[in-house]
Amino acid sequence: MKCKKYLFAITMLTLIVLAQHTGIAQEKGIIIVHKSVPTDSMSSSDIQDIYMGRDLLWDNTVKIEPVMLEKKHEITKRFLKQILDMNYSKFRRFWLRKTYSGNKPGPKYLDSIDRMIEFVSQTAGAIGYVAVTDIDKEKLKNCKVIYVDSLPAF
Amino acid sequence: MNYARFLIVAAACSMVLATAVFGQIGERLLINGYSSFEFEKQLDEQGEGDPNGSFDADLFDLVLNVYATTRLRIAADFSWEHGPASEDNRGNVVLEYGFGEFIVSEALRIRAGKMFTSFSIYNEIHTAKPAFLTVKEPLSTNKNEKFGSQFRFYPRWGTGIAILGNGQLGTLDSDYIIQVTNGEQDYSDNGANPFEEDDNLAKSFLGRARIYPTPSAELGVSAYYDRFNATDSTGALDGSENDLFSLGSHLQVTGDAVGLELEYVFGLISGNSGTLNRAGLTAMVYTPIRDYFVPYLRFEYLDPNFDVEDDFATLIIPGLNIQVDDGLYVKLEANFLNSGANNVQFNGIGYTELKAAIAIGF
Repeated sequence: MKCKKYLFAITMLTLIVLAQHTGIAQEKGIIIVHKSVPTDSMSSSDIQDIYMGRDLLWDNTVKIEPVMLEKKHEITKRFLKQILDMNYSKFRRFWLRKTYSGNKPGPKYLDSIDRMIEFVSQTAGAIGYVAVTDIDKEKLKNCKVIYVDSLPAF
Repeated sequence: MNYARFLIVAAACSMVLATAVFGQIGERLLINGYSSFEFEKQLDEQGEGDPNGSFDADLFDLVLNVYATTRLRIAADFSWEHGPASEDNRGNVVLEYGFGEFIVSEALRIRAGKMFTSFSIYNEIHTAKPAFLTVKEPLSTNKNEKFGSQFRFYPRWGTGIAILGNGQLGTLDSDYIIQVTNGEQDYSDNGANPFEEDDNLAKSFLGRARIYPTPSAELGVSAYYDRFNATDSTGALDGSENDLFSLGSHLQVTGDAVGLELEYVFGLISGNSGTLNRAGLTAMVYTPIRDYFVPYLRFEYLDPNFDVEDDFATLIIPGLNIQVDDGLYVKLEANFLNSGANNVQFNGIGYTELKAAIAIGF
């Protein structure tokens, strides 16, 4: 009887651990910035500094305006994992703490790819990301695509 | 007829103007905030908890950020605690902070106004329930005056100026803040408001530095110093001054599988009547399961006075934090409190209290 209990507990633990290994989106993404942003390439670390609130200005002149797509977009999970090395919950809690403690609030959340592209196109200093399949040259004409760690996509 | 036309044209112009103005304000103004609803029930007959199993409209809080220019931000945090009704003298309304911040560079920002005392982990988020796992912030290191200490290690707020910034320390990310404020005043309240007028020449000083050895690890040290007017046993000013000094260190690790929070604060108060040494400790471990469920276990310990035997207080809190939706958290926990016979708050009583909360952050 005891043995069954142990077996049940071990099975449940294994399932919990396996469940934690959720996959991330296979589709790659690109980093886009407003065309006025004075750079063509960045490192993952540079982007981390922006999205974690450590870098506030481009070249100490233009305000950096980071934006994110909402959690429902698979590319957001990939961006968080590949670039920021964290999951959505951790990222949210990090920014709740920063915002409530008097620091500059975190990235804006946008609900659609079109709004993301529109925002980055129209806002000086904006930086965001889209999935490779969402690239529409016409729509992105006021944006620049940034190489990350010398690669065109993450 | 002409008058009617005029009214229509005027109304249309007003709407266009209002839309334009609102659009401009909307671009510059960010509104965030949080809310928390709690339930507490003490299980034992004796204790300092809630024997009646009460619901608590804990707080509603609005955080406003106005970007006046690229470099100038005005930030304010308004809090309504426990359903305020001023006519009945119930609840509490407070400006948690209200300051202007000017960015000289990322390494140097300047603030002026009323601010949180930026000591260690919790004081800057001491009412922001969605920002931490447990129902309450630690008593031992943040609210020690409710855990057997006569004075807090540091005040919640200060009015004054601050410089802060971030950069690289060697190869490590780091940040710092230095605050100079009026400090706290004697708790017996001799009429002065420390957010308006200092009651002595001495200013308080706060310094905190943090380094980030990895993106998931934070190591910090904090120090606070103030000199305040001393009072006698009746609460009257006795003409002397006390020095208050607190030194804290903390470690946070936010791993995917396991998280850790450690805080240690040592404090001393010295004056004509001698020196009082005290220390508080908080340790918490947690393990996120699939992003949504976070079981946690916290331990708190306070020694309010090294020279007094058996005046300790401890708190053990096992609990579960469930993220129900984006920014919506449900918390369930048990608080096992124990105290020494000479602890002035609990007088040797130990008791268990169940706590639950719904916290919303936006």
